Amino acid sequence: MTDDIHSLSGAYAVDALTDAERAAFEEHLEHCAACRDEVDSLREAAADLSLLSAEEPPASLRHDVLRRVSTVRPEPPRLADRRARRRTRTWLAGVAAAAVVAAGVGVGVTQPWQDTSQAPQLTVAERIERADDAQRISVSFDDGSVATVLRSESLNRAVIETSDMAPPPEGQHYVVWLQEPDGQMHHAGAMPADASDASMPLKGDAAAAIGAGITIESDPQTPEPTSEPVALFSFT
Amino acid sequence: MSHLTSVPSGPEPEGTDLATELLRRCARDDDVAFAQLYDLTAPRVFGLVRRVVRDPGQAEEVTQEVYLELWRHASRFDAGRSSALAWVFTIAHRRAVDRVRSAEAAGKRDVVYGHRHREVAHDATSEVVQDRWEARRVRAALETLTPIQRKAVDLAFFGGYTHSEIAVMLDIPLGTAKTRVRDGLIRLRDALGAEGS
Ligand SMILES: [Zn+2]
Repeated sequence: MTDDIHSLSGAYAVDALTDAERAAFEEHLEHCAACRDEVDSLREAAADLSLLSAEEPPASLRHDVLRRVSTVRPEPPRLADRRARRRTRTWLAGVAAAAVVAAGVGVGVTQPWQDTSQAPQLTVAERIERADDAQRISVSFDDGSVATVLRSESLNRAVIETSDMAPPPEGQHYVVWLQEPDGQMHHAGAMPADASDASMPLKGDAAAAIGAGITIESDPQTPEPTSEPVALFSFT
Repeated sequence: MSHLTSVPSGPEPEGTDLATELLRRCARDDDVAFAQLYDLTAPRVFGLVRRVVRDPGQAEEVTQEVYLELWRHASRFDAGRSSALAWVFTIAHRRAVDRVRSAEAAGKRDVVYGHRHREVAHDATSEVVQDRWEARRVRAALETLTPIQRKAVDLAFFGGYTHSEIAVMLDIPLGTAKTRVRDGLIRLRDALGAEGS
């Protein structure tokens, strides 16, 4: 308890620690949520200080930066790390954390020997995947969970599939909405209680819809969304 | 593949700002989004780096490194923990501080030190017009700090000094500078927050 280590949070937030102190404090951060939160909040404040030093960079710098960046690709997401993180928080704070990983890319596979109309045993998802105009839109969350909407305009069907999804908060439900062209949200179904790995066909006019969203609701049959979406899927 | 799909933004949920969206798109290899992110942040990134490293040539080098890192590590941005801008400036600040410290470690201390002896924070520039109002808000928030807190925050953030160096520079007991920095940042945070950013 000599020299309370928590008191280093401010110096850490603005890089005012020596390398050794920094290493020690980062170890402390691993198991001190209070310091993590404090560091995050102080960094937000410190970031505002950069308004005081703003200065137009030389025009050539933009060119140099863009040229250098064109020679490297972004690192892929680190899946193992993401999975290890706080799951519950992600869904709640998750709107901003959501990242659309693929959008609007037709994944239709034309298989002339397999007429979809003669395959009634296929699931809705499978039928959509076989459609020429199939769309697959995925949203991934920081904890590694993924929600995917499959949609075919020609079939007028859409399905949501989830993978490894954290449960909604106690007593709450994930409700899926189709967004109509006028912006209205149409209730397309409430996810089953265990939505961790689910596949659910969406109710409504999937062909006309311009997007889908997921909200967290206490009433699974609510006629309108009562909260901000935790995930959005754009069809356009 | 990601180049084929300039990503439809759709209705944006509250709190999802432009920089957040741009960083997400960068993580998907979208160089158009990256150029936009550069235009959005470059004056503040370059200005901050230049304030810390002083030398314009080195500031340009470091700024390039910063943007390369932002591009490569865009997928590491965790919107559950920080705003996109705070993440950007955290990386920029760290890089700048690393640069001055390694320059000093390499024996250029006198040169750099000469450059580093300058009053900061309050006399700040403002070539960048659109941020002026925001800058005023920050200055006002800084006024809520005690003079010693302000000086400590200033030396840490814009000077790139360690808290022990700051203790010596401000002639206060070793071990108290870190408290000044922390208390100062907490006041700054609360003043900025109270005003609603
Ligand atoms: Zn702590």
